[in-house]
Amino acid sequence: MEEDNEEEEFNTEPLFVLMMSVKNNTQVLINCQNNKKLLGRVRAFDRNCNMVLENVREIWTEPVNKDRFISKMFLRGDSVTIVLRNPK
Amino acid sequence: MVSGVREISCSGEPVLDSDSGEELMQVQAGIDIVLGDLPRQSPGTLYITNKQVIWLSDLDKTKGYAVDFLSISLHAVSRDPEAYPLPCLYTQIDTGEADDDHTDSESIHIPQDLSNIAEMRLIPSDPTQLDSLFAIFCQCAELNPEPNDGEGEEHGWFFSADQMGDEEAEEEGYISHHPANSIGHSNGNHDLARTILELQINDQRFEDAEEMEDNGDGTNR
Repeated sequence: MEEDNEEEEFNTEPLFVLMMSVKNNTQVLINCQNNKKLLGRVRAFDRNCNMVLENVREIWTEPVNKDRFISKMFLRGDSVTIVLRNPK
Repeated sequence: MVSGVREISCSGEPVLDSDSGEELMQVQAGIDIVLGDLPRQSPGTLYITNKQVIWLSDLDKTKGYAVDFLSISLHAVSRDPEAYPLPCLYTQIDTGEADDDHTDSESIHIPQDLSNIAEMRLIPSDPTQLDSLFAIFCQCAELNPEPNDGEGEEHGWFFSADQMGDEEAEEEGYISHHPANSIGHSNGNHDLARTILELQINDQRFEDAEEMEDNGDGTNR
């Protein structure tokens, strides 16, 4: 019963964006508090926006444009500032 | 273990359990108390420790009441005269029992069992003390989190059921970590500035709002 409520909660904004990434294996673009960007797929998440991400491209522009690839990572939700769905 | 309101007797001052780290946070004199529907009792002194709230009557120092912070499920400043005639700190107390809808008509005349009291009001003689009283309650509530907080959190993660089977295949290397046309992969093109522009990562959605600087003459620059 409680899990049904949770699923209902995840089916509504704002967690719906993460839900769709998990279900459809689509990419999201995440802006973090350290001003780095993470582009990848959400494997799992919880209501605190803690996430397990896969095939992540971490991108930062200070002091120079750099990036790195991370195959699997855990992201703590308190560092998430923006999540964009299907960045084109 | 929810204990609710307890009647206590002590010699003038409450005895603290210093072995378990209990210490006095604040003492406030001139506090009246109302427990549930029982008549208002006054005057008294409130002893707030990091574990419990103790009220001792000024008329009979050996008599008083104590409530653990773990039993206080809600505390709020009440200034609405319709809710209660005097400004007070209103608290709800978790008695550990489900509320019974049926109340025996005869039970009105029977003195209430203290452990069943679900509300407590603390009425300071000086209403300006309310905010400081509320603040210390907030502080002590933070020091006493629910012991079962986070229980059931293991169900809090959402993941797709069909992904469970992917784990083994992935560990054996069947799933490529470098899909050919995945957004964000450089695919040999290491001009990240261009990649970032293509992804619109530097678009305004990621920009901090610029704060307006006041020039002092009422204008902004």
